[in-house]
Amino acid sequence: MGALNKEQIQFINNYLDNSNVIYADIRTEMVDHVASEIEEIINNGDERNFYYIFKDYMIENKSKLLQNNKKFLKTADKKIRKALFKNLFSPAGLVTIAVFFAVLYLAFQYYSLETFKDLLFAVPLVIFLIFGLVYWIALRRYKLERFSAVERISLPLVFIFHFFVFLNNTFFGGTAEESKMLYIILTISIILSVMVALFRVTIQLAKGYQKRFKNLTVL
Amino acid sequence: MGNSKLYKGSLNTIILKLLSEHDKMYGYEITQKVKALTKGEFNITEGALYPALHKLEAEGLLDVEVAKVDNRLRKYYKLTETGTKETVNKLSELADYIKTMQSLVNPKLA
Repeated sequence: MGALNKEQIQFINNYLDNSNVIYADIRTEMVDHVASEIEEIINNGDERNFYYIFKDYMIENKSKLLQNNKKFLKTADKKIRKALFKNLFSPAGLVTIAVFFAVLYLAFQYYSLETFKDLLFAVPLVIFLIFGLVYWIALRRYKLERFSAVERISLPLVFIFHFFVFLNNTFFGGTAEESKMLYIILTISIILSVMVALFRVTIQLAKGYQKRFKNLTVL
Repeated sequence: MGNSKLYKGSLNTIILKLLSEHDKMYGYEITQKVKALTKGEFNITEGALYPALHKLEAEGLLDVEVAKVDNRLRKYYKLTETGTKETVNKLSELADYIKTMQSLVNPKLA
């Protein structure tokens, strides 16, 4: 008995996909592991149909496999946080914050406080929504595989954005005063810089995956 | 299988050691190698192995290569330069640990 055929591999892949192992990077490794285990069982003399062997294997091992999936996502989040901080506090990241701050501060001179404040908080949210929408359309339109780190990358932004909004509402009461504007401008500069950093990290990760998984579609 | 908790603490070192002796290895291959070397005494589960591999990769100790093998993709792990240096440190730590335990448990052999 040799290796499992394409249909059997596809069956394992679909089963894991339906079991919430949605990210291709972790599923690829799990498919190979399960296939190797089943091939070993067959090579050791089990003459039953593939589907029976697969079913028995899953009854015994599914929980362990899914536990692996959860841990993988934790590691992916850690990897993103590390890359994000490294990028944000690099010389280029700090220059980005300074440039955003300078541009917003200059723009502040030409608008009323209320208009400027509303605009400042709307811009990151609108950019974030556009980014999410483009990603969602691209996934469906081009039938792209979902990769854990790339997809989970917007999570830190959501947390940071809500953290600053919370700080603003708690300590600055929501009314616009000139003394608060420097804080608001700094807040928005940081949020926009985080978005730029996230964009850089996304490109970096996507390129890495593209290079690593260039044969993925043949699965 | 023996007491898996005692082995678990050394899992990273075991992985690094195996990879230092092979150009590259994939997950299932590692489990089988450990099983064979320990004559079935230590059986690494996928729930323990892959998180350890991913953590070592995230720490920059392992590099990954994906190849198409037998109708599927296979993820191979290999040591990075930092990983090679870390293997030496980890093995030295483990040797010290074994020596210390030996002197506690069986002073005559220490």
